[in-house]
Amino acid sequence: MRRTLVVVAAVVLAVFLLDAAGWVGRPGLALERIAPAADGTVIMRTSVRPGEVVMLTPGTGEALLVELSTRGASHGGTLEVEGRGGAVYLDHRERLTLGPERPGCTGSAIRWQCSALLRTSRPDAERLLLSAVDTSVSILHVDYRSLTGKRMPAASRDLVIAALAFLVLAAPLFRALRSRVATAECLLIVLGALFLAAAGVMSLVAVSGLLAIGFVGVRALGSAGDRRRQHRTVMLLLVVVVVYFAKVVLPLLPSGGILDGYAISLPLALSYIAIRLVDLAITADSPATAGMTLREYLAFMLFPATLAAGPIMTLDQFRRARVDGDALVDFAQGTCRFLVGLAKKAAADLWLGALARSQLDLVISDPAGAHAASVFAMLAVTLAYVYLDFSAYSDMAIGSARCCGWRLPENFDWPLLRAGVRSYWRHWHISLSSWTMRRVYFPVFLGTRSAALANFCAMLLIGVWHAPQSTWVLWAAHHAAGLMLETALARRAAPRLQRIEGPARYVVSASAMALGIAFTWLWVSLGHVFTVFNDPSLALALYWRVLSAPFAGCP
Amino acid sequence: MSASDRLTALAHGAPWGWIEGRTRALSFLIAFAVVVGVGVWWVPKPNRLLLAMPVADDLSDANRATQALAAGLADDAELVLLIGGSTMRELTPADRYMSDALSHACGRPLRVVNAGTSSQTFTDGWALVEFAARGRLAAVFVGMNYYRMQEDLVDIAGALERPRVPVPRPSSLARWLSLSQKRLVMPWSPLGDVMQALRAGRPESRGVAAFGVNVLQAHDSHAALEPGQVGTPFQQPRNVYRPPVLARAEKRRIASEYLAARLAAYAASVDDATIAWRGLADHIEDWGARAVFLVLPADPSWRSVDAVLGARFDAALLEVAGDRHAVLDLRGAVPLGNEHFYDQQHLVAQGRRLLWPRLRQALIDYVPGCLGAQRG
Repeated sequence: MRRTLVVVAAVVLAVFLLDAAGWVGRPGLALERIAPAADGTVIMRTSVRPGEVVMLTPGTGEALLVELSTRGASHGGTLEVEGRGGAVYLDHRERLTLGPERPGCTGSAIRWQCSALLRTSRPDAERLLLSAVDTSVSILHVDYRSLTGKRMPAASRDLVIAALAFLVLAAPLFRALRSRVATAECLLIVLGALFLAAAGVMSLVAVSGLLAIGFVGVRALGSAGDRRRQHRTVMLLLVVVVVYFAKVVLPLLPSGGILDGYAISLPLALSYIAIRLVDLAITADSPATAGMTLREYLAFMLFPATLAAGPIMTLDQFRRARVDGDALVDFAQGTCRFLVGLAKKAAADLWLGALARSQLDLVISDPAGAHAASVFAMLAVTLAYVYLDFSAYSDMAIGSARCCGWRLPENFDWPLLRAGVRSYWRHWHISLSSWTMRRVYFPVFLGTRSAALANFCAMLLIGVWHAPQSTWVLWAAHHAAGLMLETALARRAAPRLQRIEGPARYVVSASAMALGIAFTWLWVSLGHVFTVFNDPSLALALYWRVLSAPFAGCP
Repeated sequence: MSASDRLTALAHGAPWGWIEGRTRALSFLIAFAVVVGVGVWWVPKPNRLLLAMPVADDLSDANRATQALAAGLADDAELVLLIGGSTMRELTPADRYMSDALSHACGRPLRVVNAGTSSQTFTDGWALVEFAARGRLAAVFVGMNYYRMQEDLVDIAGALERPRVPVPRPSSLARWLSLSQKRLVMPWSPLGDVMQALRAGRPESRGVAAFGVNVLQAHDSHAALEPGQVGTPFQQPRNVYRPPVLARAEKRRIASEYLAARLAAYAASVDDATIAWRGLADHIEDWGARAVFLVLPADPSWRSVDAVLGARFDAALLEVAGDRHAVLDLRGAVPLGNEHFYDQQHLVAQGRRLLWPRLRQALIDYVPGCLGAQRG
């Protein structure tokens, strides 16, 4: 128990420290005053120190350049400008006017404050300009508050879909190699490596590093004997260091050379490979893992269908996935499944994604004034979008693998039609949740006899696996609380439900199911406030607003 | 089995299309092959689409330009394409007028298409050229000013994901970008093209789709002018800017604003933009056409900007053109004054009329096979 608590506390503390240091998800801000020189032929650029007041005169070409270092992430937030005097133009993709009596602004010419919604899309830096409109203005303060942020992936949507579609086209080749396991595995390795290379040199480098650590580590574990625990700890720490170096540190390094251009985007496949390595480390002393060859290891790790978005497989599942079924039926089923995924992806991006983004913009532009109902509506649409988007990728992965003769485990089984959060978690991202249940929940529960701690540990792992941010720790706490709440309610309600007989039982059962599904939507949507916003104070404020006044703001 | 399980069991076979057994599998694959075959035959052929579609008067800028371009592809004439922003759109008389003049002067059918659109990105311009290259492209005239040098390679790659003209994604640009971005920029976006087609199905985009253009008539007729408007080739429905022009003081203010608002972006991107334009020009030549960079004329109030940026801009253009492509400077080509420009860059009808003889000569001089054929 004590050791578990120490580990949990260390992880939570590390995440909060990363947040406090501003390492994760916060864009850097630099200000520069630009102006033509007196003879009009040279542009003067001078850095502006924090707190320094900048005077801008209209008609002279003077401007304040605001540079946001986006650090490989796309951000949504508010630019806060404080000034004295007249209005300013804010030039970004379009022109806004900020100043006294302007929308989104308070105060007067003596002193005004404005807040403008701003989304970034460049992976390196976003530049915007402030210039005086028609009278002189003093800029007192400029800041950018990032409220939502997500690392840009190195592999675009189109690349992922094309890679999976290519696998469908390569299906006849895999079928022809049905009896030649070694050749089929080599083909998997080549295709997986090509996919990584297409995503950029950093993906290839980061994954190669992980694979090398993994293979050497697993081999060492197999022969470690009594020092197995120390070896395992070292190997897991190395995996965590590599993954979080790529996720957290890489975007902070100066750009240029190999890091130029899109190389600061999030490398492909890191999180999925990391979890496979963790599983291998845990099972390293089993005969099945000990008998793994380098070729089989690489084929398992680089299985192209699952590189981008899972499903997560263990080595055992990989070995059992290759089933000698009817090639025609497999190809037809796989193609159909792939097309279903493609249709879901199109629906998600065309409608739900745009709707979720517009709803989110409404909340971001005025977080303090956003009604609980509109916040909740935004979260529910986000949940629907995330489900459709994520399950679409799983469908395409499962479908393309089926075409080639591999039967991957299902990843989603209508989770949003499940009554209750416990059932939801058995049917959402099944590969990850079931793995976490086996490798985290059960060991912690058996060791501590505390279901609450075991739930929290499982959710915490899932949270920091997504991103090392404090909001994901809060998300984990939210879901752990939901699981405990539901368990307690079910324990009390079950005996009473058992006593109901006759037609009333069906009515009660149907009502319970409807309430359960509604609770799933409510609870899971509410939890998304921590995945959408990377500002924990805002996330908590909105969380409490929705929880405490769910119907405020309804007409 | 819980109630949820029973509910979801009903749809259990849905993701697999309820395909069980070889008969259903074969039926599905045959149906799928037919759909794919029809699509592969239909998609690349814009001039096979509907003939009876009425010309829409409310087309957006981008759709109008694409429609005109598709009409040029449909009638199999040699194409002379003009690309650029709204400045280019406002630079010339009606396409039909230019086509008639050029065809008469060169002694063969030539179709001039002004595909200048408001805030046209580099990516949109490349997409239009690649689309036009499906036909007999003779020359591409690229309208250049400071605004056209404000995108760097990151902006250009990003614009691939946010197309504004309804033509297929320019795969040659994606391949070219892949070399400079150190990761694969997808040359084809099947999902993106489908989504663009669905968006194009909205009423305001009527008649124009992502994979080609449905309407075969260029929206370039005199009949669509507003009541009271003089029907001349120098004032068309696409021409947004009309007299009275802005006052000189206002134009000077715009010039100062430009320096303040765009200067930093220009300085940060001009090197990348130079590389990009050179890349497009080389591709135009590879497609068998001639690339000509037209330096667009500007209002006298723009001189303050020229004083700061002019030298670097001129040097960049020389680097773009190198020794393979032509640069034609229209600044000072004709005495255009304050009354000819609505603002600092957009011509009004009077200015277009004054510029047209010089522009006509430029077309004759630079369209291959026309040099010296000064008839009419």
